[in-house]
Amino acid sequence: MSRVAVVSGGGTGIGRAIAAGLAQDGFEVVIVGRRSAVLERTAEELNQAQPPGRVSWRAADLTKAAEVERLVAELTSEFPTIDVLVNNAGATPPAADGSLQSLADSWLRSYELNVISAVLLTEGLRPALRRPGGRIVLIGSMSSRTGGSVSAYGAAKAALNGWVLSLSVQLAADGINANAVLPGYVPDTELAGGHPMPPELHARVVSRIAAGRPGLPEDTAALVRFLATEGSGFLTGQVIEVNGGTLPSTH
Amino acid sequence: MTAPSKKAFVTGASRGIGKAISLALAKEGYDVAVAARTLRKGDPTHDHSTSIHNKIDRPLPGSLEETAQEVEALGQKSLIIQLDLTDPASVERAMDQLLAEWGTVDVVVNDGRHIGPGLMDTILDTPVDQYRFFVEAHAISPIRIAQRLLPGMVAAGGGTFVTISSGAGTDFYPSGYPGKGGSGLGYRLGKSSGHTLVGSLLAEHAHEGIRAFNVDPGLVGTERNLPDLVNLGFKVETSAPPAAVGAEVAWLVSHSEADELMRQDNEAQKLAIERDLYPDWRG
Repeated sequence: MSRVAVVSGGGTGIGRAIAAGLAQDGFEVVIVGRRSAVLERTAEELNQAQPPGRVSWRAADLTKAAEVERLVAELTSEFPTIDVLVNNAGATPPAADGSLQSLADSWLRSYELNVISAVLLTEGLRPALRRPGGRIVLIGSMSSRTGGSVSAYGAAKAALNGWVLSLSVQLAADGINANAVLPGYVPDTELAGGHPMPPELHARVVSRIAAGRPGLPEDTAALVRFLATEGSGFLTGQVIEVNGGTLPSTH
Repeated sequence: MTAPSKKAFVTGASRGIGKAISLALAKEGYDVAVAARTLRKGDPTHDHSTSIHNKIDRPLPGSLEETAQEVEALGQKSLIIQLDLTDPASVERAMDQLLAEWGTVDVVVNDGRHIGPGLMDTILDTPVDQYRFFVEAHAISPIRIAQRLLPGMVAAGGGTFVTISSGAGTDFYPSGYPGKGGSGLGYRLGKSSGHTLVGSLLAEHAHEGIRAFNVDPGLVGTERNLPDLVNLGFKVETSAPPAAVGAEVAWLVSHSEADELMRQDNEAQKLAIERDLYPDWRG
């Protein structure tokens, strides 16, 4: 019987690498995101990979409860049991324009994009997770620990680090683990909303990485693939950084 | 009566590194001819997007008039020269003006750069005509400037050229994809072509007292760059202040012990810290 994994934000960047890795590991993978065209193309490409994956896609705005309810109903009617849930979707919010109202809007939006989306999907799918053996992964951010200019992003991501502790305690008796994975600097993503990364900044950031290179989406995916195995069962409630040994103070 | 001040010509002087170099040279006692496109505070700013995928023409702080005022506040003379490095006629006119007003200069700093579509775009995405702007601004215009100013400098017994270079001009095999840590071919083409001027100046004119330096500023928190840093989620302190590069260039220009640095790629930030030319900004 095939195992099922759901990956939010699975159309691009780290989410796509996670979906590809889990598909290679034999999971039937459902990628979820907002953009149908992107999801469709990614699913097609992963299904044509060697060995071919079994990847399907569903579009939903995970910040909206009604859309998550619909998504959960569709997913659970197709897959009564879900083995792995990877909450990878996230984004930096639009910048504030200087007024307190826009600051409030920016912070609330960041919370919706990075926290509420994961909370709604996780709670929606919680009854369907395999017991024992279900796996929950939250993709957080290095900036939850080191800060960054987009305060609202790092602060929202930090909420995941706290929430994963509660989740792990609540679900441990059911044999489900929950962990947060914090990628370091991974340039090959759309996280910055298409802002080009200046080479000088890239060089500066990489100079602070002990491994001597930027992170790849596959580096994060490698840990998620392990967390998706049976062998990860005793590992729970952890916040794990995959950053090549990043020294503090750049981000 | 004191001896007349030495004279410097600096492109890209309306803001950022070029402005900082102008002020650092003024502190060293140079009169400075400041050149760029933006004449007055509030003048419209050209599209300074780095990609064909977005357009950015938000006004940038800084203008020639403001830089000139700050040079004069340091007790030196200034000369405002409006020029567009992507326009050959504009550069020739600028040289006419400089030579008419000041006759000759002692220092030339090629700092002005072309920021535009193609800087962060792929080979396939960049319209081929965009490449000309990068080559014109970074390579041809500095040659034009050298052709007009070198004879006077040689006749006066020497002078110093500084090219503000970039890793984009020295790394022929970049690992980064354009916009994801790497530069587009347009910028690489411009910066690498511009990088060769210093070596030819030295090969042909060092015996006549011409000094020349390539200076890589590294990541600098200019008025143009800082919003990008913030958008990408990085701390402002990640970048060096423009004044650190200004201090480094002023030191290269005015100290003969810098001569040993002429035939190499100089990292401005590293040198500024090693030689204690500017307070350490690193957080």
